[in-house]
Amino acid sequence: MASAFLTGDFLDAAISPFKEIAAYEALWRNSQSSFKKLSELFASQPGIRPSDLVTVREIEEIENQVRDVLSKTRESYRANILINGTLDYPEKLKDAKERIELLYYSGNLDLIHTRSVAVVGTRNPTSEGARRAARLVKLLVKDHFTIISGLATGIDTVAHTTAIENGGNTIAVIGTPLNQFYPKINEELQKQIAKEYLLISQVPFIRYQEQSIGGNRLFFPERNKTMSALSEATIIVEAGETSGTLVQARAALQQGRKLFILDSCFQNDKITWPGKYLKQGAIRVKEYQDIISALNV
Amino acid sequence: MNKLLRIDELLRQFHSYLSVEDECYYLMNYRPREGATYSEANQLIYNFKKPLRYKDQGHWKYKKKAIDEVSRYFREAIITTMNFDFCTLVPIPPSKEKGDAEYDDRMSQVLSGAFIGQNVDFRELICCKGNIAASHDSPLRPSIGELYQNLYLDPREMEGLRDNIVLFDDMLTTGAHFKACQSLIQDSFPEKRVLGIFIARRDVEQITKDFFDDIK
Repeated sequence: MASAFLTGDFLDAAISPFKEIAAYEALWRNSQSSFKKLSELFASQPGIRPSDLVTVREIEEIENQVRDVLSKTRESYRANILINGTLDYPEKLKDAKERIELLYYSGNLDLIHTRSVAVVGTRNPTSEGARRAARLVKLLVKDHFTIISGLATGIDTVAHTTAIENGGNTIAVIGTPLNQFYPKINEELQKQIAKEYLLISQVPFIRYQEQSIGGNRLFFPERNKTMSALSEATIIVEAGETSGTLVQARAALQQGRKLFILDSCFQNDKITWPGKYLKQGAIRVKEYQDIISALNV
Repeated sequence: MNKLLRIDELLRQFHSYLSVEDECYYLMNYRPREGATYSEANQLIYNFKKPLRYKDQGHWKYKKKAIDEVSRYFREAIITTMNFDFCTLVPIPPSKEKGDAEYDDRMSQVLSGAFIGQNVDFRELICCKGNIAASHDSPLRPSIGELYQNLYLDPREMEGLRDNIVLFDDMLTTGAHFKACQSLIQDSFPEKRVLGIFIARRDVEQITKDFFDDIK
């Protein structure tokens, strides 16, 4: 019975998702880990997997915790992974400066292959800003774009809900692990997106559970880079001078994605970022047609 | 890059007939949808399963293309990792008798062409006795027992099987077809190890009928 097939090569060459999750979570347990460090590590050894970078013991130590968080997540929706080296892994993620080796998702993976734009902005929009976001999303849905956003309060929530209400598709890229609901008020929306649309997170469960709130805050801007890489373009509706949204503006330009900034942002003399990004290649949007023409619809 | 993924404890529970001992591998996740399809997985499966009644139509060329593409994916994922000397490759048969106008040997076409240059032992070991009623006639999919009853081993293909029988199919849903074929082989050859390799695993909230069921 014993053969090379059974004992060695074949089984090792296939990817075992649970094992890779446990290994990835174990890698993140190292306090020095960051998306930057991990992306450098994976880039330095092409073809390597999380399980090649940790010991069997490290995997065993974290397995039960991983089992627990996955089972808890399953009470709300299913969790699966996208991992580099497989057919499902979206090539467009490779445009991000720091490539994410493994991401968690729940929902309809098919949406990742649709034409999509990210609609993002402040958590505290003006009422006019929220109305602008809703109008914009309605038009984009009519033009068959999937709306990507970050499931935060404010502009993000308007973007997701308007897309759904108008029969469109939406993808949420969140800054917490799949088993968390932040903000709490969006719990039902997150569950709906995870079941009927697509929910994505790059945030490791166990590290998030074990580190401070301050440390976890750093995951939010990281997901903006992923959101940009997944989208054809990012549209900023409204954002303050120190908004996390600006991380996405930089990422979009760096990744070769189009960056649209609504004209109203330029009319706000309290902020300087619109002018700065305009010089770097962003597109000033005076009317919807400016977006559509640039996207060659 | 297109490595095979193994069904392990992350997803096994969604393929209700599979147990811990079962070794099943897949290339991609597939979520059925009605109407327009966007993803490579959806397009590929749709075209791969295109029923034979369309063979005189212009879009039949997409089926041929899909067969080539599946062959290429399997070749890339398997050829450097599988020791062919120890394996017999067997397609899970379509649920139509050979000779039926709708009998579709798409997976045989893949397996007979994908691994040229290797010491391949490919056989249509398992055959279907009769046409299983399409699942739209019943709200339930056929059970493992019903599927088993409808299958037999082709006596002409039973000599000199290698240690590992690798079953190939389009889609892993509940795992019933795989389990029926595995039992059938192991009833006659208890010492053989039977594995499954699928193009896609079906990722749905609930296993219900979709339009591909009619064209298995």
